[in-house]
Amino acid sequence: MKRLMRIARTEVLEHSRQPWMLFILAANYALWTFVFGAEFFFIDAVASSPEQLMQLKSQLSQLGVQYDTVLQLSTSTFGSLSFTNLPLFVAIMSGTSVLHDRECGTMPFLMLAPVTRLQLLLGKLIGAMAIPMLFHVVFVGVSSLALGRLGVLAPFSFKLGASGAWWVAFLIGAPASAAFVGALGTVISALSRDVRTSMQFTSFFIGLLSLAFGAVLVDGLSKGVELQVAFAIGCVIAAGITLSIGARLISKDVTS
Amino acid sequence: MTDAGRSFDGRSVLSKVSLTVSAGEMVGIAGPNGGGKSTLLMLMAGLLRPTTGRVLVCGVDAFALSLTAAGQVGLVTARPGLYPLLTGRENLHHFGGLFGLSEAEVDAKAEPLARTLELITGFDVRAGKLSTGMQQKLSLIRALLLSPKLLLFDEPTANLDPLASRALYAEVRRRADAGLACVLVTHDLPAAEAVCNRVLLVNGGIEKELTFTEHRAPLTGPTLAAWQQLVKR
Repeated sequence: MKRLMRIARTEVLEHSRQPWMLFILAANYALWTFVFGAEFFFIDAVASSPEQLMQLKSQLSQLGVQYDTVLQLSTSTFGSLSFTNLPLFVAIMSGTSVLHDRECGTMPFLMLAPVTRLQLLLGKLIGAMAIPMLFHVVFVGVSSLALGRLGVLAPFSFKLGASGAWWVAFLIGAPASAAFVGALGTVISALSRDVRTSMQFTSFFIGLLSLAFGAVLVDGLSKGVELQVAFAIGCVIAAGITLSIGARLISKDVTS
Repeated sequence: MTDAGRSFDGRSVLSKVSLTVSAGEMVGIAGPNGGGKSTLLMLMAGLLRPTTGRVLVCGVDAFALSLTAAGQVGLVTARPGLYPLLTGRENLHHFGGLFGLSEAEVDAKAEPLARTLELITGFDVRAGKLSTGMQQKLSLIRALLLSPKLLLFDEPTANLDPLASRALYAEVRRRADAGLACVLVTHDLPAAEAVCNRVLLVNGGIEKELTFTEHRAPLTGPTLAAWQQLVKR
């Protein structure tokens, strides 16, 4: 366990010393929080006056869009992005984790240490998850809870912190999906020989998977806690299987 | 190592190598580029599986030893193998930690070695900002501060200045005299002759073996004396 945490700690330390990466993470969360926050606060302000609300509905109607549909789509998109970002960023970080060791020349030294391949991959995954997880908790937690209090979003508050299912998705489902996607990224990085290959796989397969997981998590919010728990368990099992297979695959001739 | 061989994509790089390295012995391996020296070292480290024959470290299959994470083999390669964004000390804490050493234990073992190799000032600088030679010294300290049964060196002095090289060879020889088994892959034949008990010439297999009974300082002569004066000034 100590060795596992040592690997994770080193991974976090290295990530935390990349200021541009931290900036990009923060900017991404801040940008979409600002965009959706501005939209929701604007609509909430408009809705406080019946005349202005009628006017807004009428203008939307002229554009062929229903007011309720706009709110429903916006809250779903916001929720989906909330849950997509975590696996996406974990995948990006884990997608270069083991590859980074190959490039730095540290791989042979890790392989000689009394650390199993599974410990190595798991430590890398935990390390890749730590910083995105912090951003997830702070940005998604604060923004969802703040926006969920807006009166105009009351019918959709179950997507914004006002339901048990949301809390399960926020604290367990999204991290579990990130663990699975991150496990795939870690294994891809362990098997790739260069950054380009790793990033191509990571961006394509894992990017799509992250988007799909975000949508599934939000879509499942109305279906109760049980579904969210089942999804999280499924993701954790899939992550475990992925890492186990990966650990076997990198057990051959690690320096060749 | 008994009749060990290794092929890559059907092309034989090493074949029928039989070699025993005893505790307290230092064996040099020299030979032309592409002759299989590094492959031989990687087989001993358990980082490559032999295509034929077998390689044992302390009586256990070297590849299995590596997989079962015994941590019995130390390695210094021409590439220092450090995390560039971590300081020298943090790198040592990381690798020492993987071998079960506490940070205090790592510091206690590493600082005398750093003094010997004149690296004290580079300890708290990020490894990526150190010169290649300084990084290599850190890599050497990493190997020496652990307590493996077998120490493997692949061109350890490739980026070191002569004084640091001499300090390194002296330290490695001292470790060998204290009972460690050491294998040194090098192109530096005078140094190999000075510090090793045996030097093997490898070119696809062991072609010749030379034995040396007397050990001496590996780097001597008027140029080194002038160098020392230069450094002192």
